[in-house]
Amino acid sequence: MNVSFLRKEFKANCWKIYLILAFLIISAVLLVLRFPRFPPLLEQQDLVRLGVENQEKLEIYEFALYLANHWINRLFYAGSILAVLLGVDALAREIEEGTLPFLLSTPQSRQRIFFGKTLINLSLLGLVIIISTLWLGGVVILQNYDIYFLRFLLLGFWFFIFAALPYSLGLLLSFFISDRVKAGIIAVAIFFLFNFLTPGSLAWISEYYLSAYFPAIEGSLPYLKIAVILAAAALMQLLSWRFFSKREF
Amino acid sequence: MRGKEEERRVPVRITGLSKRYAADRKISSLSFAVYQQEIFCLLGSQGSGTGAVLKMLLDIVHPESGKIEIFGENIARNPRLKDRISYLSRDYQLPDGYSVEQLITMTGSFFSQVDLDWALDFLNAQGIKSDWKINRLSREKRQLVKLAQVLSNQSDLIILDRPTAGLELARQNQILLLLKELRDRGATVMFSSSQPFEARKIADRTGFFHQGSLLAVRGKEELAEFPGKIIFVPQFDIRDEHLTIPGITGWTRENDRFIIHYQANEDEIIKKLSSLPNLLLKLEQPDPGDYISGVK
Repeated sequence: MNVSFLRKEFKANCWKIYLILAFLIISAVLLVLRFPRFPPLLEQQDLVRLGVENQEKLEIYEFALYLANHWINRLFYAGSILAVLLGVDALAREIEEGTLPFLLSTPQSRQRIFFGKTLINLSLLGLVIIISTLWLGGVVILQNYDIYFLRFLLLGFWFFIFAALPYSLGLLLSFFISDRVKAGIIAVAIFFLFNFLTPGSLAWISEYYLSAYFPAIEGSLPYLKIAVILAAAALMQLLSWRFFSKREF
Repeated sequence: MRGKEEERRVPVRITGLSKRYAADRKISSLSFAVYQQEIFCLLGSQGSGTGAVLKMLLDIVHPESGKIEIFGENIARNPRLKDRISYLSRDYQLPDGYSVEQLITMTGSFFSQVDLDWALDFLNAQGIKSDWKINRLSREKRQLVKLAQVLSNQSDLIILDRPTAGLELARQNQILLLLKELRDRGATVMFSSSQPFEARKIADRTGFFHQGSLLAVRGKEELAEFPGKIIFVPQFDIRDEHLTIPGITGWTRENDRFIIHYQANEDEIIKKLSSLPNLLLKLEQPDPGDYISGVK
């Protein structure tokens, strides 16, 4: 995929990227500053010993756990919305605005255009995750807290895999619903509804931070969940490709 | 005959092409070839199917049956061939958010041989500055930017779907002459039009297209024999002395429209009519039946 394609996609999507990035950057600052700044009265094991096993209570004393839980929550909402918007707009915008005939007249095959867009849009999403996580790390350092930063980057990576799902859902719906706004709203609604109906579907990502296996991943990940997510995203991608390859413009 | 054709290089060859392009319209068994370094015009009214034919050449629309060869190859199997083709779709809209120069540079980067300086010089000569924003351009200026974008690609085959749509007469002539110049430099030009005068002016051969069928292909000399027609809406009372121009064979008035019939001297007629004070020369699309019946 050439650089001009990347530039074109970035230019078309930059307002969404800036908006979500701004939200995450502000969230990172607020999350760090909001943590109650008092020294832990008791060590974690003392709390367990005293029977305080509730995670919310533990969070009060464990900054890293508090941050991992809340950060993945912010990433989930903001990142999923960005993924849906990128998916809905990937081809529907070109069709609606009449710019697709040019793209189809360039020496790129339809396959390359389609999967190139997916690759570029997911890369842009990944970039947002990396930049915002680096920023979070910077804020944490400035506030003299201690976290395993690499684990936060890995948190972002697992979320990135997860985000292929809302992206693909947005892309698929854009072939059925001609109005991009409607397609976006419906995709977000379906995605969040699915997550509400399957509580804990995201928990494994934040739990990963606490993995005793770190940095070895083996044994610490729900492979089945990851496989299901990737399979569902791939299925939606293939269905979308089928519609795109047959469609005439 | 075929053997003679094959001796020449044929950038476009269409054989037995069929495609339904609207609910009640179908291109059926279309066959023709466009030869190297010629200007071929597909002449037909809106909805005649010329746009669908050109889209099929680029594999934007898929044919139901038949064969399309571009430089002897199937473009669906080898999309890299598009690097040798400049294509302007009538459906293409310029994306907002770019300046003229940014857009020309961005779109040019998709092709291997693009003369960006030529495009910017061409637009500058048309009064379009490179730092102007696309969303502020008029429809006519947008069409010029599209043409600059497409023609800056130094390709062997130029395919244009109604390239002069939305342009005023002087600019239409300018673009037609530019296409002639590109042909003289070695390019093969194929364009669609609904204006017979465009075909007369530059086309080496013209294919008469009507409701999805190619009725006939005529050479330059044969085309010159067909009577021409200009329809315009004057902004003041037209008198006989305004229309004493050699070549005009008669004129009629239908409400606010004047219809001028002519046999020859088209350029001169258009030039003189354009120079009349306070006359808004508005070329309207002639009824395709008029010239199609002449072909049959």
